[in-house]
Amino acid sequence: MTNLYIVSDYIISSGIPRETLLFILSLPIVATLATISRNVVGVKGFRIFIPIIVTYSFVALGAKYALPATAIVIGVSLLVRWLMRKSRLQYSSRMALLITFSGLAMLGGLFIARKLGIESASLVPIFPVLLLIAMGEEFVDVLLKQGPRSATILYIETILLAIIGYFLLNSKTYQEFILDWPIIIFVAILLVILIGRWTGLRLIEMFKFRDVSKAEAEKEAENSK
Amino acid sequence: MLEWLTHSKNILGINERNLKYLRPNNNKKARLIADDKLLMKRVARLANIQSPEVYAVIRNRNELNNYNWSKLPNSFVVKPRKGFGGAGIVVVFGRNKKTLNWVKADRSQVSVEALQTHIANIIDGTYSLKNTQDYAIIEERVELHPIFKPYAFRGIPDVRIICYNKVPIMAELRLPTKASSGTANLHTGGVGVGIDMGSGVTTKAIQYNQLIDVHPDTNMPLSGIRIPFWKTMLEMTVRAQIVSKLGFLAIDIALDRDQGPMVFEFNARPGLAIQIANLDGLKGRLKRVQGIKVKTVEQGVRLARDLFGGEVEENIEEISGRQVIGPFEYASFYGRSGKKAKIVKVKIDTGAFLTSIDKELAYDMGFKDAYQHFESLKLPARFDAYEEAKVALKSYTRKAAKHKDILGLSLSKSAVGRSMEIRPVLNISFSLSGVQVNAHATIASRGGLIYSAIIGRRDLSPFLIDPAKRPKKPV
Repeated sequence: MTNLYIVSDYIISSGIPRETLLFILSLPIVATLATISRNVVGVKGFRIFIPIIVTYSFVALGAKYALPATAIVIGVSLLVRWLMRKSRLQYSSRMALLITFSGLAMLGGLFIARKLGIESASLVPIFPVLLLIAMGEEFVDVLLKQGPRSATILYIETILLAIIGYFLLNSKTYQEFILDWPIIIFVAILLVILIGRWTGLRLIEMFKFRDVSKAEAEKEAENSK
Repeated sequence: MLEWLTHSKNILGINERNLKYLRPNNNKKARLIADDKLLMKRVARLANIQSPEVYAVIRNRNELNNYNWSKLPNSFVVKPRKGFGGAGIVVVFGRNKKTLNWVKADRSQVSVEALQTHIANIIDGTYSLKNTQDYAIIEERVELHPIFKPYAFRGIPDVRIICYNKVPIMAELRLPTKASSGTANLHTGGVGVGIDMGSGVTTKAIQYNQLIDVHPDTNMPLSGIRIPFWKTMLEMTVRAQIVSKLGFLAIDIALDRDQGPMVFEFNARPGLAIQIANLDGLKGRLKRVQGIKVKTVEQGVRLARDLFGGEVEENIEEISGRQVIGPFEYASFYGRSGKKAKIVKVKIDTGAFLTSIDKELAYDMGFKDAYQHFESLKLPARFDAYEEAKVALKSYTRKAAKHKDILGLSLSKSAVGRSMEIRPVLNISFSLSGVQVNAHATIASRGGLIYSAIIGRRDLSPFLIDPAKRPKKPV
């Protein structure tokens, strides 16, 4: 069976950059990964959209910049929240300040990187950096509503998902595969629909409820005696 | 070793909860009831279930700026109307006499300005489900029941009961801890304690999904706590399900020291960690009650206790549905405006029909005006002949009832001799052994009574009397 690169080739030859096509074709793949991770494994991250945009930011920035950038976003969010804990500001103003300071901190980070002689810092694209700031807002929202433990767990899960997505999207094998077989996105759509109707236990839930299973097994052993 | 892979068929996971149980059973209209605390209170009232009294609802900035804070009692709770998981709730315990600031559960102080900012944030939707505009509710603070005192860290525990097909299927006691900063929420580090559905006695406990034996802050063992009013709570749950039409419902019930069980919240998407605290799967239990036709509240409660209880050793209170009291008890009397209880020792007197309270207690409760109106009628202090007293009673009743607090007059025989006196009858309320009673009470004018209140037959129907029972002084 010959592959379908001809489709990708036709699209690229019509003037759409290969990179753009790759990113768009990968969207359903990354979304499917996020869905599997949430509904089958139980690793959730902040909603469904944030792990995806963080994944793309990672790809665009490279892990070298993206990881410190997320750390800065979360650090600044925590700091701003702590500084404003007694202020009597409205929610929206607080969030606006949070975003402002995250942006300034990013600028500071880049500045320091440049001063340290890291040449590539001047080439860092700014939009992916701004997208990462969206995570700061979500982080604080969860912190307010569900507490520091949930916020930390969801943060770690988001980063984990982004790193997996990053390695996938950066792999040459994957890039060639998706361009050869763009039809794979229909498989992804089908898979998402199936997962949407799946009622089994998530992997993490199985582990979380292990004590209940143990009690169940003991009961069973007792009954068969 | 690998039981967690092989023995999970009775466990309910989030996927299945959402697809099989929430979506088909909880329609949008019913879910609104669970997400909106004001609507919930209205539904609870329809189901004849108590919930904390609302002092004020603040809908917008304008109402916030014009709100008269001096109207509030010294303790109250501020919460968002559409909040969830206990976020945005501020509990105020009292007032600092010097600064006039309110004092929160963690003993820190809040000023009026700080409360205003908090309420502004609630209105802005900081704590609402989808960050949409919200109302702030200011409501009565539930008083900690003494039985939970050793198990609660600066907060009010509640009992969560999950109900399906009109049968309560699983329950847990949720305790506030230091980690959860006083909220009874498992996400933030609260403790969940499984409850035997039959007896209402606690079994296993968890914090952060791990089994524990003692309360992390107070070191008190968590199993074997007998939940008071267990049967009442189960009945409330079934009634709530019938009225709210939420097919898969969890309700959170708090126990007030004086007023008994009160519903805090209806929940349409209960968490699943309750399964660990009970060491049993919800799915197994859901399947067992599926398809059963439950016709009455009592039947639903009976099924729950039979199906999901260990051995039930019902005590007399459970069977009769009445509280057992002794000949002498402590009761708290509510003032005329409904608030501020005064606790006094009372005598239980089945020989009397009406409850009577002495003048001083009546004055404390705010009935001074009513009593003075009665005195202004200048009735003779004593009657020696029954006929004579009866005539007086007839002619004065209407005059006495002109005062809005006075229901009428009543003839009482004096303890000594055969003389009689006429007393005014008032509508009062008191709570005794956790049951709130709306009573008709006469005011006795003579001072020097040993008991400032004597509870009569009319108001004793919720109780059984055990002559050997000693009174316990409330804390």
